[in-house]
Amino acid sequence: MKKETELGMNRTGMAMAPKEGKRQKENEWKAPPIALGDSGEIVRLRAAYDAESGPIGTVSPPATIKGVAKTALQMGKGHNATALIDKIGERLAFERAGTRLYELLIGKFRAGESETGDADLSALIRFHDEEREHFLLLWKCLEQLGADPTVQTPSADHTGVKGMGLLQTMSDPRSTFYQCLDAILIAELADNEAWKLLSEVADGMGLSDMAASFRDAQAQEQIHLDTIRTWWAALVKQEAGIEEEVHA
Amino acid sequence: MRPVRTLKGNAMALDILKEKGTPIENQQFDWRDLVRVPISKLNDDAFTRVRIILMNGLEMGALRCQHSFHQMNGDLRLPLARVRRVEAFQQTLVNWLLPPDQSPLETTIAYEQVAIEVTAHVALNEPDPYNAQVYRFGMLEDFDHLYRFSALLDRLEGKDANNILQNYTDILPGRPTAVEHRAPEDDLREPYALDAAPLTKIHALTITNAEFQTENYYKNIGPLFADPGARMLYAEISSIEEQHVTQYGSLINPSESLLEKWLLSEAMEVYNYYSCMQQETNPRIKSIWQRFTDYELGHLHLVMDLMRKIEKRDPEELLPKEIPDPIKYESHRDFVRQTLSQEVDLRARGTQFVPADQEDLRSINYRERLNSKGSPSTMVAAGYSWKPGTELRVQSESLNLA
Repeated sequence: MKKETELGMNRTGMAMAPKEGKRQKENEWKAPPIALGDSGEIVRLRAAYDAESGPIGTVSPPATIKGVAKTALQMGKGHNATALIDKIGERLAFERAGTRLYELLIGKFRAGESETGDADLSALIRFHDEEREHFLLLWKCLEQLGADPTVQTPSADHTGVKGMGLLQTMSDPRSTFYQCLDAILIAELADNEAWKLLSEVADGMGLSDMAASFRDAQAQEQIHLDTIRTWWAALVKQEAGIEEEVHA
Repeated sequence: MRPVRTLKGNAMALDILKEKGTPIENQQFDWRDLVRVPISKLNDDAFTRVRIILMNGLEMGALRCQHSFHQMNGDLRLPLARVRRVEAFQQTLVNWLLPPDQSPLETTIAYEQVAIEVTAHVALNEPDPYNAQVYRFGMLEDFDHLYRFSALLDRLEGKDANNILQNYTDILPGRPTAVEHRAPEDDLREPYALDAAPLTKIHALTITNAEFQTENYYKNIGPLFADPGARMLYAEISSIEEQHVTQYGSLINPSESLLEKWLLSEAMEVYNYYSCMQQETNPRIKSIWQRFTDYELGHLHLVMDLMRKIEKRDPEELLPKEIPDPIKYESHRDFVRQTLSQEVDLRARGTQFVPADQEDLRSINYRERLNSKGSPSTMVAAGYSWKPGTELRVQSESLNLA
């Protein structure tokens, strides 16, 4: 059984090499300033590229006549329909990738190669299925708005980049179940915030039915978050030998 | 320095024998020039990305060949070093145009799009019928790779390969990757004749270098994945790319002199940059293709002079009188589908292509050994059918978890 808290031969620290570590430390005294200036140079360079670069992409125009009409209607009210489409596209990409992350978590649970604490397979499968249902809901919402649900919107692309670290951790055979919970907790925290905001934006645009369905999805996501958080904390406390406190 | 181009028919033709391009001493760079703002993964046309990936592959090929040449020929060491320095900077400028929000797996989808669409054009325009068959044969294998990697992208990253392909290229099984593994004896092909048409030589050099870069890319990024399915798939498909480099590289005549090879490589680069320039839709990128067409003309004429001086040969006899029609950067969907329906069951036996039941036992044994503990490409794409967005749209709940 895998355990990340076992004592072992981790070679990354300086104390692991008592003799050479001391000599390595001499660098901080001996190294002469090689280049003039400070870390502000690279900050200014980044600013120069910022100024030169456009955005990573844009939102496609509406895919249907209905979409054109709905966009025009929103614009008439002073709203920006493409902002909503971009954010729904983001949630769609997030829920689709989230379904796959739960597949990895379920696989890790079933493999049984590390401590799983109070985690429960049926709950994990339910969360997986709900992520997929949320993806399908968002697909329908985009169609209702006359937008193309197959588009990777700029925010969808951005969320894919952010999620790469989570995916990398969770797909690693060496990761423990706890490490995967730690990763999906980040996803669930972000997801809850984003659903709340999305329902507010839909409400603000007068799309009350859509906003209600987003609130329903958020309620399910809240359960995902609370459950994952509980399992996650219990595993750490168990590992540290701390008695689980009863929360109000 | 921009070459004057003469009007021929409706297209602007380039006379590579007369146009001398930019002299090598004027081929200069600085770091800001080399590290440009990348293209947009979302908004630029997929064929802009295809051209960047292809031209990076050709520059990597130029570096590789020119490094090996200077280890085999003392007279050419200095001119090779000078030209190679420029090729190295060209490679950097071109490859750094790829955007960082494109994951290694998404970039892989684009590499396979290059392999399918560019090889399809080459197969359709290759004057030698045997070589055309070789290209069709390899194309159906890369076509299958695209399907396998698309399944992985959907199932691992939760992304749709069509966001990269932009509807130009089908996502369907081709010749199954699991049966593409062959013994080395069945990967060699007949080399073209020394007096073959220049376009035949240009095609072989283009596709060999493109496939070589694909192999290198897969072999470099494979271990960056944590997922064992991905690591295995890259191990498997990179081995097919090794076979493809063997196949396409063996089309090149081994009796050519080093200078002849260098000359043809430079002509091939001119042809490809010129093709890119003709069709580029992003003006910022088009100006790069224009500039590098001129740089490559400079390299070509430098090598032409060396050939006259060292080998006392007339390089013009080896080069096309007129630059061939450019590579068409467009969807070859119909041609690929037709080839798929007619040739998917072909196998290689020696240098020839035969029906599946006539395959040699050496290749069957070779692949049975490799696949004896499971086939990664089969596992990763088991039951996969591409759907807009993801297969999750139609998959019944928890089906994959049962």
